[in-house]
Amino acid sequence: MTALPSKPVRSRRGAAAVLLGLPPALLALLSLPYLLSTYDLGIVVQMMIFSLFAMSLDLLVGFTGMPSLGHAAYFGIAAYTAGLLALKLGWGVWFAMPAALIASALTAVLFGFLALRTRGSYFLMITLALSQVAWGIAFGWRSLTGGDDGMPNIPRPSLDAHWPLTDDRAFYYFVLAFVGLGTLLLVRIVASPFGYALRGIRESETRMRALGYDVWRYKFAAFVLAAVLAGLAGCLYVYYNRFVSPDYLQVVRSAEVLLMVILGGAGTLIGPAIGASLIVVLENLISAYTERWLMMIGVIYILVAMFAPRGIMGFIRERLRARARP
Amino acid sequence: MPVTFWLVQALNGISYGMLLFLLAAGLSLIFGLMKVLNLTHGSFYLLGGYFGLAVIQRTGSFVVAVLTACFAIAIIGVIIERFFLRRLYLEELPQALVTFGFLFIFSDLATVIWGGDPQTMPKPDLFTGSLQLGTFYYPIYRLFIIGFGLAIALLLWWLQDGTRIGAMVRASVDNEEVARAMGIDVSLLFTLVFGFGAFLAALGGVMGGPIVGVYPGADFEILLLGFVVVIIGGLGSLKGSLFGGLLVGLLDTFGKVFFPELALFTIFAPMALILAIRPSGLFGRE
Amino acid sequence: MRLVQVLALIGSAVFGVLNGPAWSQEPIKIGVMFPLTGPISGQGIPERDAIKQAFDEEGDTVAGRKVELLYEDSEGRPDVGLTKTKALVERDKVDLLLSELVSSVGAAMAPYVTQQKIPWISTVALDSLTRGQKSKYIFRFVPSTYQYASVAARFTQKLGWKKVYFIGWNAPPGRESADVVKKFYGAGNVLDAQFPNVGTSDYSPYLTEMAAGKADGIFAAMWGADAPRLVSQYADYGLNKKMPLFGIASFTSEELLAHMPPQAVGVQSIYTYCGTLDTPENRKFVSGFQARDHALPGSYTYMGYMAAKMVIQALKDIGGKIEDRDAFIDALSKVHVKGPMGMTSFDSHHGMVADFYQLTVEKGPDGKLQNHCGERIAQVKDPYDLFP
Repeated sequence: MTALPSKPVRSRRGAAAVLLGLPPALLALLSLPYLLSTYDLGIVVQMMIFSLFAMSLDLLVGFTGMPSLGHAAYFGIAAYTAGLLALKLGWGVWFAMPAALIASALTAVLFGFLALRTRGSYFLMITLALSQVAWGIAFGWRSLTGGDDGMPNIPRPSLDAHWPLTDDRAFYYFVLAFVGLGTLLLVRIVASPFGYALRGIRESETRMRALGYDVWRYKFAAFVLAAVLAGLAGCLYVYYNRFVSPDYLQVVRSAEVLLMVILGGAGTLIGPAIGASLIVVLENLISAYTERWLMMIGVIYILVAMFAPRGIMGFIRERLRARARP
Repeated sequence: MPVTFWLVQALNGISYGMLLFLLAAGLSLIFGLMKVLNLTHGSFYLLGGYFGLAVIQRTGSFVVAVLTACFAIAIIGVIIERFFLRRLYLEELPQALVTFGFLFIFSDLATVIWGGDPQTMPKPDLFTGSLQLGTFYYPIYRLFIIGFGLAIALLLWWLQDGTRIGAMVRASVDNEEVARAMGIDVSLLFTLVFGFGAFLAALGGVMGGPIVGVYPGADFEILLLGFVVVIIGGLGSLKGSLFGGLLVGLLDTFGKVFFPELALFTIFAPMALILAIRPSGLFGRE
Repeated sequence: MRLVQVLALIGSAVFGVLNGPAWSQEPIKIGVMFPLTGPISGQGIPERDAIKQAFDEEGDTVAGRKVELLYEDSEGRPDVGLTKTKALVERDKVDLLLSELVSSVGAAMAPYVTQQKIPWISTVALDSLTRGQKSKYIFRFVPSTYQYASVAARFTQKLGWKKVYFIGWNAPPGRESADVVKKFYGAGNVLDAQFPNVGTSDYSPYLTEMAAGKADGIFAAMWGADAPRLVSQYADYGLNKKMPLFGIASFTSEELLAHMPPQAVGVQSIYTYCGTLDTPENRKFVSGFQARDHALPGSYTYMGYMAAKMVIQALKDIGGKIEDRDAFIDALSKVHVKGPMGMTSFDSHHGMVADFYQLTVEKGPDGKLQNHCGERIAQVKDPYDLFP
């Protein structure tokens, strides 16, 4: 994988801007349920869920230099686990969700042992193959998973007996809280010494090894962490849609989330969130007006690649840096 | 089961494998030289099939269809390389974005032009009909595919090892800087090889048409299969594409015979296993 | 929160009084969502066009009210389909849905539609829509898997078939069709049942296996691009000389027939639409659709066209007052419409009741493949007694 030079612009001014911008942004997010219709609110929920999903993949693609084409496996396995536990055993959200995240983590441990031996395009393909195996289980094990038709009628979670999340606004805050937590965790990881070690591995594994880092262990940890956060996104998605089907872990979804990351700008965290939101909005906006939305998305991919090869956020950063220099 | 049953099943696997080899060869060639994972390869296959079909319907000639489709797609390939990929050399992520973008665009264009219905490509007159093997019938066209695949493999081998242009490609694969220093026009070589890769994909589309059909969605399905073959064999290796194709073809066939319930796993599980043991495929270089 | 609702209620009441009866001016909005992109668009696009044709024939006005069709693309993906359904219901405020043919999308939509109390006329062959997921608001204007597979099994038994092979999609319609065939023939008489995945490009290993055995015929339960491919490989392996192929449901539907190889002649099936049936209604339907899409209609197209006709008749019966949903649902469940293939209606579970025709692929006068209309089986119902 080519190294993406993206030293974070961590100036004092930048930090101040973030601190100043945070409260209004938070306020806006908190007040959205009272400004938007239920349908638009649903689109925002999807944007948040896919943002988290894309950011979790960015930890691998952008920060560690591991392009995975099987990330939907963890999204889907968590979704199936949460759905099955809710439907068959009646488990509530506080038990089903941790169990689902553990299922994602265990799958990542297993797949990691196989996949981490490879690099670059081979890594891309082995993650694809492994996710196809997971898809095959969801598709083929009909007595458990319902096969191709999936499992409908999964209940919306309730926090406790008094606070069910059937109301769309309450559910929005539920998603906002978890996506916020996941994002915070990712931001902390990326800014930690561990995060910088991952960047080092992206730039040069040999150098990191020479410095005494156990490269494999770092990659393994990143792989499992990314899977757990993808699993969180998958859980939220299953509660949102109230059904799960093999489509959740199909290769198309893995490709989609990888493209969201690249489109927004790999290695920037905020970029993949922008990319994910953009795709969700485009898919729902354009398709109401034209059948040719697939072509439009194709054109957007090409335009971004040609004129902003580092993605949308990479482009913005380069501009900012160019302006900062006298 | 009689011996002929196993013979027929082996032929099934080999002929399917040869078809997969035709799909994968161009993909592997392009990656070997340019390090581009060309996702538009699936579109080249699909468009090749549609172009070929359109020509057959007008002229009735399979040979004319093969030639027109392959050259038309090669030109599209050259355009994509010259005006798009050229500027993103060695940048994998934007390359993926561009080639995926074209995959989307061509997929949508194909539905606009040819509609959403599946099409069947007629076989060339010479190879219609079936041979009788004991109590079984075997389609002659599949035997022809086996021979044709072998011929293409030999041709590619000769191009790679026996010609000047092949030597130039090998030199550029080994060390691009040195190749440039030796006066090889690497940039022209890239364009030619990319065009030739597209040519091979279209060839797969036309030749595979009579067996697989031409239909919306074939681009994605074929791309996936092509990747499996190339990765099992080793990216950039001609030998790898051939053996990878045959291996996947046979795995698929005998998987369906022995483990029909596990048809989903017979390709992807072995692929994961092979990669876990040999991280760069059977014939790939580290 | 409460206050806002009360204010809104008062506001709308006042507004309503000022405007008089709302239904006389506002158009009836119908949400039409089908897979318009992706591999299943080949069936989704013609079905949408046929719905448009049915409303065009009425001049887009039913019972004095304008009808507005709002289109969406489900991509054949359940989560996308659910989101687009929400867009139609919550954003566009459609009065009813005339949507979808993909079963996984239908399964995802059913709970939402029931919860929102939106009448939904679907063409999804999902059994559960009139069983486990049954709801007052859901109508299924397409035979269920159990319904069409039972007709096929019963008919072939009448032909004298005793031992059979089965090959069908590794997906609910394929699996459930096999269950039906096994129930009618007895599991021991189904010599082999194979379930290749959707989109399998090579059937030769299965076909070779069948060529090695002896049966009275083969059932095939797959559609889309897979049906023509199976037929051409079936002929390649000489099976057409050994045992007949009987397609389940729309296997030889005109949409697919147009792209089958010439060796498809003689392949049979039994389903709800036969393009060559000579009735005035069918002539009108075929010529209307040909003028629009430059292709022959088949069973998918027919289903969309007739589902729209059923809705139109029910709307006429209630004088266009779609705002009274219960009255509309009541009218729709009682509607009988004589269409191109005869009378159609809904049963008490809101499943489709229609005539079936035995079809044999033949070469038409123009050299193209067409269906020969054989025996008519009148008013086939979903077999709830056999498959509860």
